[in-house]
Amino acid sequence: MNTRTSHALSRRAFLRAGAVSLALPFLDAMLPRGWGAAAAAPPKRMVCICTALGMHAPDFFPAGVGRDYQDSRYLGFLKDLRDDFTVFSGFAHPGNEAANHLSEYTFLTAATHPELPGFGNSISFDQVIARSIGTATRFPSLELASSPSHVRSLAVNSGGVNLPGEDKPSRVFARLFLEGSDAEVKQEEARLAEGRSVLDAVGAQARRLGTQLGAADRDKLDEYFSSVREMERRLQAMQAWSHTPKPKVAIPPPQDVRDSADMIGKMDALFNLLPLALATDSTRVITLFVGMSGVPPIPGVTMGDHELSHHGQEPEKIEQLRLIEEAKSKSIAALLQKLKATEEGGQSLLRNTAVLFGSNLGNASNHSTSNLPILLAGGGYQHGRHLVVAPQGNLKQSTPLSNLFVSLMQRMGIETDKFGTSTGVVTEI
Amino acid sequence: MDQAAKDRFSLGAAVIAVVGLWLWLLTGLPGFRGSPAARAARVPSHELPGPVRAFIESRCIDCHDAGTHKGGLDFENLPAQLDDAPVEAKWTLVFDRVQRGEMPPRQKPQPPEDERTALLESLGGFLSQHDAARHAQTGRVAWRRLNRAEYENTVHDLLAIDTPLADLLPEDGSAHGFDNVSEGLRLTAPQIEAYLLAADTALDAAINLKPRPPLKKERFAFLDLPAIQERLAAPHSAKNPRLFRALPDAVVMFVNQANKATPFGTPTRDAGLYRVRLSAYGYQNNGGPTVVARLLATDRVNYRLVGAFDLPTDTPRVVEITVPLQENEVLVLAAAGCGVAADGTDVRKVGGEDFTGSGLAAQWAEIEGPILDAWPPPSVPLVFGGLPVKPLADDHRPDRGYEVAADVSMGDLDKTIATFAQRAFRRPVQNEDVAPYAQLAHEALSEGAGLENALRRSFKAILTSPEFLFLREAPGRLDDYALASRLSYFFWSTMPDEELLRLAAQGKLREPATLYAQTERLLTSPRAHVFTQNFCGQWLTLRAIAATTPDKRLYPEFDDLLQAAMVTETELFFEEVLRGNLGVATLIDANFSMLNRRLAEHYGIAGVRGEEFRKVSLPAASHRGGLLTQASVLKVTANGTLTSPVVRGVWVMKRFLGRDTQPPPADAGSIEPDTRGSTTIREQLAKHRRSERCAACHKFMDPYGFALENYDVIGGWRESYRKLKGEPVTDPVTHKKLDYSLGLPVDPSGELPDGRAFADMDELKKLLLDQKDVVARNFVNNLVAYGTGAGVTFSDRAQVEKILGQARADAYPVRSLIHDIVQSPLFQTK
Repeated sequence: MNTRTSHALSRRAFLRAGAVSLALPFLDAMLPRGWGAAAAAPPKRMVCICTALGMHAPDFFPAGVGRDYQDSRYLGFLKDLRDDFTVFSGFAHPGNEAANHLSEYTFLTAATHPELPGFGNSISFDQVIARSIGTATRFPSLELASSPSHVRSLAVNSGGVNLPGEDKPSRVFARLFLEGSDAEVKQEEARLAEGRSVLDAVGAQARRLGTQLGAADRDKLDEYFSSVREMERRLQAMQAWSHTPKPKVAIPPPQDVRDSADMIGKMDALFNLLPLALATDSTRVITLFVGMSGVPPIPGVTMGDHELSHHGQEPEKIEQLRLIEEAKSKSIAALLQKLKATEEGGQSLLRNTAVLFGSNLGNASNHSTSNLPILLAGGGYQHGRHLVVAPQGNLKQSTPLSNLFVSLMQRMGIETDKFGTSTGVVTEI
Repeated sequence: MDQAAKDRFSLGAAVIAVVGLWLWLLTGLPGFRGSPAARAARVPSHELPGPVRAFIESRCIDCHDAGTHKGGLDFENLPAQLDDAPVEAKWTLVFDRVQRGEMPPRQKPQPPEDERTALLESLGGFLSQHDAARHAQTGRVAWRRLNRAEYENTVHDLLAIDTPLADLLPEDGSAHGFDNVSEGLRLTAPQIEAYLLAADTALDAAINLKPRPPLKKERFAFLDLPAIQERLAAPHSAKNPRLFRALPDAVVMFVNQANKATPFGTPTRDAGLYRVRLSAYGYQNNGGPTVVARLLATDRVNYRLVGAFDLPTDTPRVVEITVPLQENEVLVLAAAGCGVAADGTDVRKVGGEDFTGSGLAAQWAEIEGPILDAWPPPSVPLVFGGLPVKPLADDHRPDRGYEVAADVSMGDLDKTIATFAQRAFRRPVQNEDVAPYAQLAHEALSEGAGLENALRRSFKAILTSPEFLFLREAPGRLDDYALASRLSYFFWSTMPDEELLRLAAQGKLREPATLYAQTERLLTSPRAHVFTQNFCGQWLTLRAIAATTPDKRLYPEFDDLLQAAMVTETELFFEEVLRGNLGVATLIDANFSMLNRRLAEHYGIAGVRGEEFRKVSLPAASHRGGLLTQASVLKVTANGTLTSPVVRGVWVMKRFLGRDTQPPPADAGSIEPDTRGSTTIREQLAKHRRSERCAACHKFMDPYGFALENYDVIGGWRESYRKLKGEPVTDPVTHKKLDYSLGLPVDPSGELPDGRAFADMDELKKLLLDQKDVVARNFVNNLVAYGTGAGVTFSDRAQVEKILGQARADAYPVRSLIHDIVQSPLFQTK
């Protein structure tokens, strides 16, 4: 095992040590195919993170607007990064007012009325980007989840189906970086080839069966067929990539978090891999869904995160909720620090990576989906401010979050001026 | 959309409770009234039948036009294109509300009966016609793929293996409340990738040509375990409390979580069934809770409970169970009920030698296995069919004891593949159906692969193929094979067995008497327990049992054993109702339930001993009986700290009476609940109900929740609410102060929308008994959705009514209802 990681250079110690040491310049060996130290500008990347249960608003949103805002309790953990992010008030997804927790499904899709019978979801904007630029990297996108109960990601494909999310850091690491012995590589190549011939056969069979079917059945078979074809393409891409060695990184394979309620631990373990996944250009689009966890192992927390989010203004519950959300804020801060401390081509990785963090609920205690907590870091934007985007600054109203999505899509090179319920773009950043 | 998620959310979230002021087609406010001509112009859709247009124009448009659109309904912009599912749902709701007499609202002038009838006939016909046309063309049920559980069960049966597979697949979506309904079962590329992986995993397990694993037989005295000896040898200190005591014949553990100290046996080398015997007794138990031996299996990362046994005090009990163990697992002995001392002392302070409270005295354990019927395992002949599998001449390879003969003819190979495909596809196959799969094996052979790998490639394709993954039905009446699959997936969640397939081959399955007998056979089999689990787990949302965690300080009596017992009660109750063919009234109220000692104590019912469940007659004042007062239902409708009459009321409406409450319109407004405890949730709710707008919907849902306020978040009986402040309650055994005190009294009284009042749940159940029709209809609708893989649509309603009509005179006996469904065209048509 790990024949490659065992060749780790002295960077191992640094990478293990955490954020600061990531400032070490990249070795050429670590640079991905296609763009070297001397090549043109590094690619643009995007990370979207959604936490399911909101962020207690009085502790998230800062007082004051513009540059002179005062840190809220949670933003205090990001104070060293103040010029690297923008915090927004007044975003919401129109048509999700009654969506309750089902707004989880539409956070990146902006589809309306998930609560109504017959609801069909639509593609999430990260997948629009992945479809456009994903072929440049080994993985078109990475879907991650930190959640014990349902391993589902934020990403939704063009058929409106949720993509599964990976929650085990060990598996993410293996997919990104583990190469195995020559024999194992050969075996893997054989497996990919076998997979392709299998899919080729079942695809042909689906086509044959499809000819005599009525509309509803044909839709089902079409979905099967297009999934098979999509997987064939991915296997083909994997085959092509299998001749390119995976990037070498100097950290040992991570251990999976044992306690299923340890959502923060899982989040941190996955966050540790993100800068590496991006810096090695293994992928340029990552989503991470932080779900509900039960009673997380945080000193002072005795109740489940879902119960606590319904605090009903009980001070003790809010106190415990804060402990969880402070831990989340610290994790986000650590992720941003790591991205900032990683250099490529004389720039920080954070500059080339837009990180969207937020929640599908504005106030989980009453399931409000208005005034969502939204924070955008990095990506080369103009930061350092608290922007109130609600029309006329009136937080009883809101601006579609899709406007921000359109801005992000444009920055990622997608030529569009519309997504979901957008009415424009965010011009202030 | 994922119905399970919807349920989980709506249940966990008591807040909606006070908040969701769900208005739909509401009453009261005077609407704008224009001239008739102007109003007529406001209904746009000329595709609607004339009587529907006329009714809307004269009776509805004032409140439901583009300007007012009460309850979010705007007839000016509601299209008539029923192909759009949300549009169809809206029109169906319009029909239902008028049919039930809820619309136009009572305060408004009521249409004469003939006008109402004309609307219902016209709109009903419009909806039916569209629906029936669709059914005629493609059937009610679109091709549905196997869900995770069905996939796992089917592959297990196909290959005679028990390797876990479901966890390798992404979670399934659900629709109409069930995750086996075609509409919710979608596919993505990652799902296909997961099927490839799952097929590899299954075939790895099935092609087991290793030498026969040795029989492991181990016996230990717990006193001799090195970890125990080590702990007994260390002196007691505040920092390292000694929690054990050595007796001549046993070691006593005084704490419940002793996971690290008591793993016994060496890690399993071979997965399989193991027989475990264990001897233990309760020690120093003077009136405290029963001491329970909990047996867990672990790979030292995850722990799973495999058994729990009540222990008598001072008399050793020998228990024996058969446990499926995976590779590299060990067993661990833990406890419940330990560490309780009448003098209130804590074992961590005084140490095991001087502690006077309860403990578990563990004597010895034996493990034997894996238990094998045959070797090579039965999966091998299922994979290789008639191909000869022989022992290797010299057995010096530890991973290889058998081989498949190399000199196999192509004909034999193809036959093996055809046999497997036929079983996997659950119907006869023609040569051309199998050819593409056989071709894969031929290609592999020509590339120089061995026979085993060639077969693997073709089987992997078969396990990833549309013929395997989909239940494929053709429009019109089901053929015998499709019928065999429907039956089998309905009751066993797996592929049809040999008998069903034989009857299908003979063309006999569709004969009513045969069908009846087969339904009986499947239902009577222990394998039907998965029907109970999957059906009740979703219909009654029991799968959400662990979604919320009760606050330890408020509910110290709660633990995983109680939680498991809650679900078991409901499942066994359902099976008992089914077994005895009892009427649906039993679901509303019953004079018995299925209890073990733990749950009976929770309910305050004396005289039930041991961990085994049995039928128990409920005493008169038990406040139990029927589904609604079972702890499982009461827990899944509460969150960890409080109950909400609205959430429970909505649950009863939807799950029990089959009525959807509409989501709140955007302008309903919401008020954050205040649960700090100075007022009861009911008092907070009363404020909202004073508003006529709010009361219009809440009068339907709240009453059920009010009556259930006597049951706390873990289904315990209460007459006052627990809270964290105030004079603490004293534990009756240890006399220690608990973390909670008793607060405001519960008021369980209320009034149904029809004006009938009730004092508590006992009385409300009596009132509910004359809603048997409603309960039965909802029960049948759920069974049809689960059993056929598609929700009941508008044009199916007549058939459901026919099924109900047949059973009405007998008060809807539950088993007969299932038979009636199976015998109906609804079940036997695509």
